[in-house]
Amino acid sequence: MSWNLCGIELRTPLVTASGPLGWGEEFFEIFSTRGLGLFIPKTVTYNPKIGNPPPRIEETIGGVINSIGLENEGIYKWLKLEPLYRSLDIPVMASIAGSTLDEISKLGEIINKLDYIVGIELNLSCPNVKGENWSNNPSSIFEVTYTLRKVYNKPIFVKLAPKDTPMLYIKPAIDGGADGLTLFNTFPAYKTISGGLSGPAIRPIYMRLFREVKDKVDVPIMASGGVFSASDVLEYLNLGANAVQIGTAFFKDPDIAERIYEELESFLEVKNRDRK
Amino acid sequence: MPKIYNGEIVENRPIGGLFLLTVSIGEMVSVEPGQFFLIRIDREDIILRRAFSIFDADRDKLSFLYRVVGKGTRWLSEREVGYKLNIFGPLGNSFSLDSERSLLVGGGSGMAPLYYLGKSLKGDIKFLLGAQTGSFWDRELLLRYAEIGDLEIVTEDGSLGKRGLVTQYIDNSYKKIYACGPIEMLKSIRVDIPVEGSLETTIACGFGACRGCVIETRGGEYRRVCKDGPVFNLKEIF
Ligand SMILES: Cc1cc2nc3c(=O)[nH]c(=O)nc-3n(C[C@H](O)[C@H](O)[C@H](O)COP(=O)(O)OP(=O)(O)OC[C@H]3O[C@@H](n4cnc5c(N)ncnc54)[C@H](O)[C@@H]3O)c2cc1C
Ligand SMILES: Cc1cc2nc3c(=O)[nH]c(=O)nc-3n(C[C@H](O)[C@H](O)[C@H](O)COP(=O)(O)O)c2cc1C
Ligand code: FES
Repeated sequence: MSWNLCGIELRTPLVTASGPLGWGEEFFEIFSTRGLGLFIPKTVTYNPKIGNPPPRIEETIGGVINSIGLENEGIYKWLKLEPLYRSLDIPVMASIAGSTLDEISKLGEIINKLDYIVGIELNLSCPNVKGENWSNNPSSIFEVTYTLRKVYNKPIFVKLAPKDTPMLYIKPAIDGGADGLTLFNTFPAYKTISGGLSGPAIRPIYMRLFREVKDKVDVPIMASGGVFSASDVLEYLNLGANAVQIGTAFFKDPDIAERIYEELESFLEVKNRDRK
Repeated sequence: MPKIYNGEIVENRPIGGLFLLTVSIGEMVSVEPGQFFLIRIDREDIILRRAFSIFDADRDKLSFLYRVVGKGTRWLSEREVGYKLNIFGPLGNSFSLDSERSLLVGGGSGMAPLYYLGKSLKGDIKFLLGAQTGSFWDRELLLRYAEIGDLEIVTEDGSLGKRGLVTQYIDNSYKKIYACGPIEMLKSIRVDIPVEGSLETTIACGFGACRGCVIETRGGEYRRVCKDGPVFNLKEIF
């Protein structure tokens, strides 16, 4: 069975959500790509970012709040990951963020030259120079996506924040030239630290938003939010997701992709047989 | 190389104010003093694994010494012999073993990594262990430490050993200090000799990828407790 995202062939519908596994150096030293269809490393920005001061992680009931603050070493160090990404037997999609249109444009131009990167996931949750989050503003979403579209020829997936009335934010992304969507990034939260909430706690909220958009959108969608089991994957697939991202679940089980895929495979085989 | 093991609990019992957990993992594993394992808590509402330093290792058996402080450690303390425990490790760096005359300072459950460290160090070693009150320690446990080094104990209420805080009894006559315990204790170790300390933060991935566990050094850099640590030269941190 194979899965397709705008021409990108995936051997399984399971994708790493950008962030929890970093850029892959540590993870792939210990674990294989088994179960995975696509690797999306942590977001990279044009300039290095030191990230937020600690504490950066707090556990809640059924969830995790993180405030990593997009720590990364910038695009030029990121390019040194090429040997690793070439060595993987699954495709790699870059995740980028920026705080100016110029940064987005430069990132797009650089990544456009990389034959080992199959597409870009555009993470809009980085604050712009005025300190506003691009993902909160439909006209910014259009502008940023369009800026990247002008310089980047391969598939662009725009990753949006969870919002009520999701179509208000999805439409400008598609109008700006997105080939696909990743729905959604973490949910803003606060306990003793403020950051983004992920994990099973957010899943029912995200499924409701997802259900609301599936009939209104005809581009491929990667679902993200609280996937911890094969049945969670199936629920998102049944709601119309074309692939499903796994993030926080790697903290509980670093071999979660493999575990879920084994279970999924037997389920999908049965379903396929029944269909014939 | 770290690995996920489906271990089996062969011992999990209270020992003074702590619990002693021994897990059989069915194969030989090489671990270094200061490294830790992440134990999965099999409850749906708990996402993050909990970190525990290696207290002792013997062929295919790993032991941990832990204190019940919240719901994860409570869950762990309720597991019975035979329970299959999912553990991931060994993770993190380790204490350096180059010292010939070492003082091993442990506050509360911070004594845990010092036992395996003490067994691995050459030369003279002395344990300086502190707790609020004497009932925190079980006699059997203190005897195990005393078998491999000199032992001095300090309690805040003076009910056993000397009265006060361990940091009042640190002297400079050693080549190196190894320390583990509450952050306040680690901060108040002020000596001229090198100090290696094991630090704690909330751990998410445990293998250096997510950047969630960082601490800030004196120089303003962020270092990962799970990968660059948990053992740090404390003079770089405080
Ligand atoms: C590298 C390392 C080695 C450790 N070794 C030992 C050991 O050998 N023996 C021992 O008793 N304890 C050890 N700890 C501390 C132990 O991990 C915590 O006590 C435990 O995670 C608390 O879990 P809980 O669910 O019972 O507490 P809760 O308070 O319910 O936990 C809530 C959250 O806070 C985090 N947390 C709470 N307290 C601590 C703490 N003191 N340090 C780090 N994270 C914390 C938990 O991971 C969890 O995410 C170690 C910690 C680290 C980082
Ligand atoms: C520690 C951590 C770091 C993250 N970093 C990023 C990031 O750099 N870029 C990004 O687009 N999303 C990031 N995310 C969000 C995830 O990719 C994912 O969308 C979100 O966590 C919801 O899915 P989950 O419940 O499966 O984790 C991060 C999430 C976590 C928990
Ligand atoms: S816990 Fe992920 S980097 Fe340390």
